[in-house]
Amino acid sequence: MNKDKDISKNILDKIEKGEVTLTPEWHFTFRKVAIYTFFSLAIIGAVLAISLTIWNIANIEWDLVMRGFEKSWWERPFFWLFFSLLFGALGWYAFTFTHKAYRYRTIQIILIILGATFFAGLLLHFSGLSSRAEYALQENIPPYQNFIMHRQERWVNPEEGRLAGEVIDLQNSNQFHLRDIKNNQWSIETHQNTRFLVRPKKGEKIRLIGTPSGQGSFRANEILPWFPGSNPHMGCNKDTCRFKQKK
Amino acid sequence: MNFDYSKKTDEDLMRLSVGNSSAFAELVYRWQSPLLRYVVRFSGASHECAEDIVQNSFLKIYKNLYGFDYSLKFSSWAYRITHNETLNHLRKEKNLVPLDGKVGDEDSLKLIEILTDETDIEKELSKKEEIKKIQKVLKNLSPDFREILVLKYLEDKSYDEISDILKKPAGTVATLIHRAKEQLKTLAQKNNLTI
Repeated sequence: MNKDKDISKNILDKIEKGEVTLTPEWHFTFRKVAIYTFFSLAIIGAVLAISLTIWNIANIEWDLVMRGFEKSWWERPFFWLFFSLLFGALGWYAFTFTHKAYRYRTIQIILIILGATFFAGLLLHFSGLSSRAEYALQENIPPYQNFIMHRQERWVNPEEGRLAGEVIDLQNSNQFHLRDIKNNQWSIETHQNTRFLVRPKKGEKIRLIGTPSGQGSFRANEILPWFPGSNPHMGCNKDTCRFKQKK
Repeated sequence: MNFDYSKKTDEDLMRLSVGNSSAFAELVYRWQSPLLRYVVRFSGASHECAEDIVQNSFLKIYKNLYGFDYSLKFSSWAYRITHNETLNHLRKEKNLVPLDGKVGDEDSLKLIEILTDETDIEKELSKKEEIKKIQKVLKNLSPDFREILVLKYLEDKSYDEISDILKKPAGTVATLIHRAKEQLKTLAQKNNLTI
C-alpha cells in the first residue's frame, strides 16, 4: 500500500506543479460539434443523392430504351447511386467517431444508415423536392448540364419524329410555338388523336412525338412532359385525360 | 479545510476534480489498487511497470476531465484508459503481453473454478504442479481472450461495463467470452486438466 500511496503522491505532485494541465472544455465541444456536423452533412447529402437516384429511375424513358434509342439510360441513376453510397460511407465514418458508436456493430450502423437514408430519400422524392433539386442542378451547375445535354440532343431530332423544347407562345390548345435547345422555333399543331400526357403551358419544357409537317412546323401525335416521372396522367388520351383539348 | 469525499460518488468526484486536486486524490485513492491489479492480471507486467502504467493513466484521466461522458461509469472510463495505456506501453516495449507466469496462484484457481461446474476442483488443484499447468494454460491463452476473462471473472465486470471498457458491442463481448472459455477448455485438456 505504501507503493500505492507513492503513486497518488506522484500524481498530485505533477498536477500541483502544473506538469499536467487540463485539456480545455472547448476542445472537446469543438470535436463533438465537428463530428456531428460532418455526420449530418454527409447524411443530408446521402438522402438528397438517394432521392435523385429514385427520381432518375422513375424518369427512365422505357419506351425509348425498348426501341434502342436510349443506350445510356443507367448512367444518371448510377451516378447518383454512387454519390449516395459515398455520402453514406462518409456518414458511417463520422459516426464511428461519436461517443457511443462502439455500442453498435458495423453491420447495424450500415443497415440503419442505408434504411434511414432510403426512407428519407423516398419521402423527399414524393414531396417533389428531388424534382426541384434536379431542375436546380440542371439550371445552375454547368458540369451537370453537360452531363444531361445528350438527352436533350436526342430529343431534337424531328426527322426521326422527336422534338423537345420550351413552349414560347400558346395560341390555343391545338396550336402553339416551341423553341428547341438549338434555338429553332417550331409551330406545333395537334389533331383529334393526339395523346396529351401533359397540357402545354407557356414557359414549360415538353417533348413531342410526331412528324415534321413542313419547314419549321411539326405535327404532334403525343405530347409528353419533359421528364416521364413528372407526369401523373401517363397513358391517358384526349378523351380520358383531364387536360382535354378545347374544341 | 478538509472535506470528507468518502461519501461522494465517483462521478461527483469527477465534477469536483476540476480545480480541486483533493477530490481527484480521492478518486486516485479509490481506484489505484483495482487498476494496478487489473494491469498485472491482464498484461502480466511487473509491479513497477504496472505502477508506471497506472500513474500515466491517472494523469490522462486528469488531463481529459472535461471529456468525460457522464453517461458512463467512471470505473469503465478509467479501465478503458488504463487498457489503452497498457497496450501503448507494451507496444513501446515491443513486448506484447508476455505474461511470464505473473497471474497469481489465487487468480488462476479462481478463474478455473469459475469456468467449471465442479465444486471440488480446488481439492484437485491444490498441488503445485496443477497450478503451474493452469498458469501455462493462461499464458498460452490469446491476449484478447485472457483480458476478457480477467474482466468478466476476476474484475467482476458486467457485459455492458466490458463493452464500455473495450469499446466493443455487448453482443461481441458475449461472443468473445464464449470463445475465450472454449479456448481455455481446449488448452486445459491439452495440459491434462479436466475443466
